[in-house]
Amino acid sequence: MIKTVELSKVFRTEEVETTALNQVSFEIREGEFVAVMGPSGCGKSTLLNILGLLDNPSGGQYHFLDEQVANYTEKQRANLRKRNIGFVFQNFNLIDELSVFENVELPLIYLGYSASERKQRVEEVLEQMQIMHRRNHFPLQLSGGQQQRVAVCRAVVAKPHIILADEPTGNLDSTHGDEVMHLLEELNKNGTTIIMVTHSQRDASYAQRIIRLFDGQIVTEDKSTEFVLTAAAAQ
Amino acid sequence: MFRNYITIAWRNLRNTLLSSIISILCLAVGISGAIIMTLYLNHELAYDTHHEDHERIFRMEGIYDMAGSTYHMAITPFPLALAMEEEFSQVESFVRFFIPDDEVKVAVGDHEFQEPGVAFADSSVFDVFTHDFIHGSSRGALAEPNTMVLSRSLSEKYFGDENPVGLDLNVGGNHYMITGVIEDLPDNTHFKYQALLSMASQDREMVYVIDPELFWNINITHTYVKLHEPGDMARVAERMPELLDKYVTPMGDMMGASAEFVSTPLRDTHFNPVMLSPESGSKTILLIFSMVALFLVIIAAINYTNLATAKAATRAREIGIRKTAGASRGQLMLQFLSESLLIAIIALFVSLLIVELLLPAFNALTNNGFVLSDLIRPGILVQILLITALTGLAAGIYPALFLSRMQPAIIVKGHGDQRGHSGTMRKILVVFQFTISIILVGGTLTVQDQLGFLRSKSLGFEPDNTAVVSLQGSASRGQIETLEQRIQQHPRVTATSKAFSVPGKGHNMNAVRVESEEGPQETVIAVNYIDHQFIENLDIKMMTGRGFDRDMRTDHSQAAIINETAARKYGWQDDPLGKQIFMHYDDEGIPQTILRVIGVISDYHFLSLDHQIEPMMMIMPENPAQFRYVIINYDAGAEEEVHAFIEEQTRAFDQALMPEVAGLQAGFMEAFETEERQSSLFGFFAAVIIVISFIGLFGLSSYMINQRRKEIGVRKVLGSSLSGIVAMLYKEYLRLILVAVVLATPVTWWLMSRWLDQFTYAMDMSFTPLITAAVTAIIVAFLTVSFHSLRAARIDPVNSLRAE
Repeated sequence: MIKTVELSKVFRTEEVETTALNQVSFEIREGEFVAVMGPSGCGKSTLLNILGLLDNPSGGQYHFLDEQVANYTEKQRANLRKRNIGFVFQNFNLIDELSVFENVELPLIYLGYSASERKQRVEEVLEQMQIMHRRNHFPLQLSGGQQQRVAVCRAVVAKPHIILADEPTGNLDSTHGDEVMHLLEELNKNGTTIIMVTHSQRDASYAQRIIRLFDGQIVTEDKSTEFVLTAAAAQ
Repeated sequence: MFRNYITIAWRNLRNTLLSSIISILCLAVGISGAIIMTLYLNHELAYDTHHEDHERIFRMEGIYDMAGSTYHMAITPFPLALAMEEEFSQVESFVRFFIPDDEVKVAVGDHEFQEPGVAFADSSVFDVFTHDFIHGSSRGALAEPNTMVLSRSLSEKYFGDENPVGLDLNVGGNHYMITGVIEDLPDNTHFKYQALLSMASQDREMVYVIDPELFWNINITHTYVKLHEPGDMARVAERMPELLDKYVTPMGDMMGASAEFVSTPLRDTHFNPVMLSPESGSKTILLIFSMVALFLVIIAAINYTNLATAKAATRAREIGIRKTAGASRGQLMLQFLSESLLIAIIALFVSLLIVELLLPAFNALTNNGFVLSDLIRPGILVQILLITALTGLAAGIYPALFLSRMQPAIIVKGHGDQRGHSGTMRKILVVFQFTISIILVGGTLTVQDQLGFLRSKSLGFEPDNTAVVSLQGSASRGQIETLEQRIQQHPRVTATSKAFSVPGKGHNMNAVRVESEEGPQETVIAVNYIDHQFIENLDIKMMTGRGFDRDMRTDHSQAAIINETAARKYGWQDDPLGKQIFMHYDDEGIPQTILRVIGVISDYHFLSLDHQIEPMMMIMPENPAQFRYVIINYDAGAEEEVHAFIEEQTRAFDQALMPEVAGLQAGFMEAFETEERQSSLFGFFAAVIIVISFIGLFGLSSYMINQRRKEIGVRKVLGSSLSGIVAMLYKEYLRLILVAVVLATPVTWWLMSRWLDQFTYAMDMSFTPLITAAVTAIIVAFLTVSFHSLRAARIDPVNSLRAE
C-alpha cells in the first residue's frame, strides 16, 4: 500500500541545511498497524507529513496505492489525500469556531457530499464513537478525550484507507489515552491501515510493527510487539 | 459548503470583535464615499438627458474676435436662429432665450419675490425641449405677448394648489397672463429656468425685436437648435461659413470684428464652461473626485487586507486543518473571499447609515439635493451592489491568496506564524495609505492657502464699509440722484457715488482707436461710467493728472481717466495727459466721440481675480441715467443699520425695485465659489481618508505588537527598559510614515503647482502645507501606535513568555 525508496527530506534556510530524512526505505501493507518511534527531532513528523501527502520529499520515491507520488503538485496531493487519508493529531486540531458536527462534516464537504448524505454519515460515526450527545457543542466545551474522539470521527468519516496519527494520546491522561488507542485498534481490525507516530511504548504496543528512526534514518524495524517490549526493557 | 463558509465567517467576526468592527467601519466609510460619488457622478453625467431629443439638440455659441482679443460665449446674435432655419434644411426647430442680467421682481398681491430663474423664450421652447404640463398645454403657451409659463414650485409658491392658468402676474413691473404650469426642471439641467416669459413681450423699445435682421452685432440671446438627426450637425458646421459670409462678415468688417459660430451637444453643455453660459461643471473636478472616491475604497480595502493578513497566525491552524481535511486552494480562496464579501455586505448596511448622515453636508458643499432614496433607482442600485462586491473582492483577494498558500505541514504542527511573507506587503500598503493621506492633506491645505491669498489680496481700492445698490433694469434709473440724496440723509453714511459698473461686476468692452505716432490704433478697452466722487470714495490712487470735476463742462463725455495698464499698453507712460481716444465711429468712419485723457489711476481689480487687469477707462457721462449702481460709504460698524436704511429708502423710492444691497467686495470671491467648494470637498474627503488610515493603523499595530509579545518579554527579561521597547516599536512605524512623506512630497508639489497654474493670481508654492501634512501624519501615527506599544511594553514578561 505504501512504499518508500531512499526517501529524503532536506530543509534549507539561507545558511543551514538540515537533513530530516536520510534515504528511508520501507513498506507498509494494507491493514497493517505501524508505529513510528524515535527521539525528538529524529524526523518522525517529517516522515508523517510526507506519508500524509502534506509535504513533498526532497529525494527518493514514494509509492502511495501503487502510484509514484513524490513529485505530485499540491493540487494532486490534496486530491489524493482527501479521498484516502484521515489525520489524528496530538493537539486534536479541531476548528474552535465550528461545532462537533460541523468539524466532523468538514472532509465530506470537500468531497462534495450532499447535505443529507453528510448528515447521515456524520451521525453514524458520532454514534459509533459515542459522542453523538455532544454534536452541537464546540471543541472548547469538551474534555481532551472527547476532543480527540471527535478528531478520530473526523479522520474516519470519509472512510479513508489509511489513518495517520501523530502522538494521538500525547495531550491525554492514561484513561482517555487508552480509550483513543482502543478506537484505533477497532478501526484497524475493521481493515483500516494505521500509521502512528508516538513516544509512548504503551501506545506502540498496540501496533503490529515499529519503525524506529534516529537522525533521519531507520535503525530497526521490529516485527512483533513482544520484541518491542523486550527491546524497551533492555534499554 | 457555502453555508459552512458563512458560518465560520460569522463566528470569526464575533470572536475577533475589535478587528471586525474596524474592518467593517473602514469598509463602510469607503463604500459610503463611493456611494456618494456614484450619486454625484450619475447626476453630473446625466445633465440635460431628461429631454427626449437631447441627442438632436445643440447650443449655438459664438467665438468673437474684437481687436485682437477672442471671446468664446454662450450667446449669439438674435437673428442667428432664424437664419440657420432658413439656410439649413437640417434644422427642425429652434428656441432663443433672453436672460435678464439680474433677478426679476415678481409681485403677487402684497408679496414681492426676487426670482433668479426668469427668462424670455420663444414659444418653440416646448417643441425643442421636453416639458410636462401640469396645467395648460404647450400649444401656443408662449405665443402671445405678455404671456408666461410657471414652474410647479413657483406656481405653488404664489398660488398654492390653485390652478393659476388665466391669472395675471406682475413681473418686473409688467403684467403677464399665465398660460401654463410645467413640472420643475431636474437639478441636473444646465439652464434651470423657473418662469418663461414670451419673447414676443420683450420691451418694445428693443428695436431688434421689430427688425431682427439689422442686429447681427448684438449678442444677447442663448440659441438652441434641434436638428432632424444627431449627425446633421457636421453638415451644418460645414455650411456655416456660407451663413457667416452672407450675414455676419459685411457688418463685422465695418466694425473691425469677426465672429464664428460653433455648437455644443446639449448633453455636453454642462461641461463646456464658455463665457455667459448659465452654469457649468468641470470634468477634471469630476475625475479628481472619482479618483479620490476610488482611493477611499482602496484605502479601506487595504485596512481589511492588512488586518486579515496580520490575523494569519490565528487563522493558520484552521487553514491547516481544512487542508488536511481535503480543502483545495481554490476552495479556501473561495472561503476567504466569501468572508470579505460578507463583511462588505454588512459594511454596505452600515454605510447607508453613514450616507444618510453625510448627505446634508455633501449637499451643502456641492449645492445638490441628494436624498437616500435616490439610491433605490435601479441603475444606481446595481452600481452600488457592484461597488460593494468589488470592494469585498479587492479587500479579500490578497488575504485569500496569501492564506490559502500556507503549507499545511508547517501549520498543523503549530508554527503558523508566517509573518515574514506578508510583512513586506503590509508595509507597502501602509506606506501607500499614508502617501495618499499626506497628498490629500497637503493638497487641501494648499487650496486653502491659495483661497486665503486671494481673499487677502489688495484689490487696489478700499472695499470695506461700503454697500452697493443695484438699479439694473429699472425705469427709475433716471432719478438715481434722488435716491442717492435720500440715502445720504442717514447720519452714518459718509459719502456716496454712482457708476455704471462696480468692481467685480461685468464691464463693457469697447472697440476704440487710440492716438499713437503711427496714427490711431485699433484696440479694445473696458469702459466704466462714473461720477466725480467715485475715485475718491473708493480710495483709488491717482497717479497723474486729476479726477473728474462736476463743474467742468469738458469733463462730461469728453474726458477720460485711464488705468496704468492702458497707459503702458498704449505707450503713454511718460506723457499720458491730453492723449486722445476715439470711439463711436459712424458709417463713414468718423468718430462721434473724442476723449482726452485727464488722469491716470493706479491699477485696481475691476474684474474678479480670475482675470488679469486689462486696459480700462472711465468716463463721466452727461446723463446720470447711465449709472446703474449707487455706492455708499459708511462709518465702520454701521453695516446693519445702514443696509436696513438703504433697503427701506430704495423700496420707498420705487415699488418695482428690489434693493440688492451688498458689500463692494461681495462679487470678488464669487468667482472662486467653485474653488471654495472644491476645497471644502477635498477637506471632507481628506478627513475621511485620514480617519480610515489611522483606524487601520490602530488595528494593525494591535496585531503586530501582539505578535511581538514574546520578543518584548525576552527583551524585558534581558533588561530592556520600557522606553527602549516603546522606541523600538515606534521606529518600525515611523520609518513607514517617513517613506510616505518622501513619496508624497514631490507628488503633492507637482499636482498643486499645476493646480495653481490655472489661477491668474497664484501664491508662491510653499512647503508649509506639506510640512504640516507630514507632521500631522507623524503625530497621529505616534498617538495611534502609542496606545498598543505602551500596553505591550508594560506587560509582565512572565505572562507573555508563558503565552508562547
